[in-house]
Amino acid sequence: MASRVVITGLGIVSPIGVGVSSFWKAALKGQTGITAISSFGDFPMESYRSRVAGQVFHFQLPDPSEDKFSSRVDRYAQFALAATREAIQDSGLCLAKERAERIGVMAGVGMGGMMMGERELTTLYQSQKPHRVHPNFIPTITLNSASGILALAVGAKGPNLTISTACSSSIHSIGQAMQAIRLGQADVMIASGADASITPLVFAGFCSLRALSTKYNNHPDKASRPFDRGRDGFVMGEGAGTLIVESLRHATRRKARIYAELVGYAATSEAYHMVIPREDGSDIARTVSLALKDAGVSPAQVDYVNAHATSTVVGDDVEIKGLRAVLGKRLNTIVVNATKSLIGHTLGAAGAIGTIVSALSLQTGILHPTVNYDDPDPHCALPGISNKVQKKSVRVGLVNAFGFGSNNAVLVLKKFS
Amino acid sequence: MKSSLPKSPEIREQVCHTLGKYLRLDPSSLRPDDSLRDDLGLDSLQTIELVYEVESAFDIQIPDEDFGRLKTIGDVVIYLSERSHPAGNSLSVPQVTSPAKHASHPAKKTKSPGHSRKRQT
Repeated sequence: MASRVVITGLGIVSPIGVGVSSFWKAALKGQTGITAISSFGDFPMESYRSRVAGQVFHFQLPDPSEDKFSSRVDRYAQFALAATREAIQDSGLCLAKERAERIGVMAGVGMGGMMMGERELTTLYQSQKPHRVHPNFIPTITLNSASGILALAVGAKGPNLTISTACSSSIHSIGQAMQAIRLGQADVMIASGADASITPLVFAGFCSLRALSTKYNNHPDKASRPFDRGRDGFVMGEGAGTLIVESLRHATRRKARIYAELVGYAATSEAYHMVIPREDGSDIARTVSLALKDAGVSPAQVDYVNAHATSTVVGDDVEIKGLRAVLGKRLNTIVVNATKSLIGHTLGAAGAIGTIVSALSLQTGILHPTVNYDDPDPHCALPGISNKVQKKSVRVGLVNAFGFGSNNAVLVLKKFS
Repeated sequence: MKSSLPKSPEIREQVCHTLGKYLRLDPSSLRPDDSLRDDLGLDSLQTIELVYEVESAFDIQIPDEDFGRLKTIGDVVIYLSERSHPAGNSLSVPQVTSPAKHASHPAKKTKSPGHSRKRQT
């Protein structure tokens, strides 16, 4: 019989807080981390259609004398490192007592080291001197630079993989971490997700794709508004989330605190369109059904959904269609919230942060508001979506994530008992 | 938006050239009433790409709120004509430098797999 898998440690870097405690306090207050973009230096922001983002302002690199790794990687991997250090400390794991071969890393990364990528590309084209490209460029932009540096930093010698499925990356990293434990490949998995690519080129790319909110440039805090009639696109964010995922046997043996149990996971493709979801939500419904089946949980037992809900016109609508197809009338009685209303879309970090939110919600029975849900869109409005904090005992939660490339992922969490 | 022939033949010619090149169609076969979605079979990403080509050709930015108005070829021409005339803020009409390729359009004229102007992500 496959091992039961539990979550025992959490770590976050987000636009509303670095560290789970400050993040969670801000989330419950409905504090938004969306601000006018300030990170492009002298770049003329007025030429961008969208000019708002969820930026991390209070992130400080550790002193190099204490951390020789952070300075060697790009911002996204620095975030992943900080979140992972917090998660390990939170879990109480004593790495020195663990078998390194039984600890693995799964990292979800959407864009990777684009910050350094853009910088070095500019250097090369402006100088036309290939030898001016930094020697650390390739190791930094390689998509597995985060999973690699995490392993180095903590000495984890088990399975080490990077999953890049755009916006669903870190739901898959957590799901695959769970599978690795179920298969007996590891006792402990560091499941992380990170992205920090609010850069002139990447941001311009999302603008050109007409995917971003453009109506609220003068009111950044209003820009990310999932399920609201006035939504007009997603708001790009940056951050990282890490969960320590381990076998119940291992967690019990070391008397670890358990936030929640990971009970189900499903990964599917819509095989439909690179950036557009299937309009009827049928593939989302199929993914939710598969995850529930994997969990051994019936739709009638679900009482919370941490929605993907990016604040795009079609995406939010389709997600609710998909959920309704599986949960039916149950969907009108459960709590649904959208973490992206607070922090924007952190791409590769989004699934991990959503799962952390879900674990905390199951543990505490407190559910953060969906901010800017002021004028519910009748196409996707639900009684259980609120712009106020909600208190309700929730035992089974879903975390959704859907990504470019026609990619869907769903996790099922259960209150631990 | 009602489709009608534009007042500016140069703009119409350049739009048809740009669209014909993107669509790999003879520009003269394009009609103002052709729906980008229903007649030309473009999905929303392809529509964004097509408008991007127009933006590049005319060196302008088309804001999201205007983008949503562009449903037919005539809409694009009229929109550009409107942008070219008010307050004397005329568009620079680029020269047509090469004939469009006369090839069959790769997209079938069937209902496209998506009509949203905002992506899922």
